[in-house]
Amino acid sequence: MKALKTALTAVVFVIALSASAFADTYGAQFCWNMDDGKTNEVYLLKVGVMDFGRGHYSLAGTKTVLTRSGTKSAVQIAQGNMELIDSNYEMGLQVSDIPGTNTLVVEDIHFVLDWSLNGYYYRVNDTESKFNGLAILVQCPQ
Amino acid sequence: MKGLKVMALLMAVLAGVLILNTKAQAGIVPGTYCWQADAHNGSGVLGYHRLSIKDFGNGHYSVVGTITAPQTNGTVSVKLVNGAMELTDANTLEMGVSVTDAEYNTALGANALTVVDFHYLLNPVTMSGPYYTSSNHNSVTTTKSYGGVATLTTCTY
Repeated sequence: MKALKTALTAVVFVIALSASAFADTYGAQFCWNMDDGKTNEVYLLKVGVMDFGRGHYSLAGTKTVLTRSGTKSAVQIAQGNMELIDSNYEMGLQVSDIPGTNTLVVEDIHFVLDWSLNGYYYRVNDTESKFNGLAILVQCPQ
Repeated sequence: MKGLKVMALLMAVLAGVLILNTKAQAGIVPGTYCWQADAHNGSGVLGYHRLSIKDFGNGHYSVVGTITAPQTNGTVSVKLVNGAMELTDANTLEMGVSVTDAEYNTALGANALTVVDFHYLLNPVTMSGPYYTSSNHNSVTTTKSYGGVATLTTCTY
């Protein structure tokens, strides 16, 4: 049953990648809404995905900080990788930004996603300590 | 006359391919780029950053490479780099990278993991600009960050 679930997860992701790209994974892009329950902030993660083969995926993109009313307050750079582990897709990302006043802010985020590419995440950074929340796959805005 | 028609058709196909190719290449041209990173305190060159850029599409770029830095004892330190590059607006090309190495730590008396983070704010035309870095990043502690200038240069090393 577990093997079947793993295979199904892999098939869904490969189909999603194929549908969103040319012959290879050039141009494949996925977006997630991230919400860790803060009253004022939610996040949009937008990443390009490149298939390195054998279940290894490289990620490059942005994490946008938004108010709950949708106003953009920061665009941060995100990079990392995605791996199929058991029946979950796990993503490890590092995010950095210069929000002003010559200060580098760095954040680490780890996602655990199910076959539908929805799931949860943990994030930790220099200024706010630790958070966790829900990651919901959404259509990427223009 | 038939030959002319064939040639015209070939030219039209070629033009189409060129237009498509130009569209696909819009933005940063993938390849290997090198930067000279000046020290934040004006004390000279901190190191050379040699990074290969791969286009993931939709304005997303992955970067991998090395940072080479001459040491005071005459040796050269080479650290590994991986990160991402994005055109965040028309005037800013941002790059965030993580740098790792196993270096001798005098306090520990043994080799230890070194992690350094860099974030660059580059001019999209000159691909040069300021960068900020933190030494020995630890996610749960406040890091001291400082900046310098990264200047695009010819890859000669």
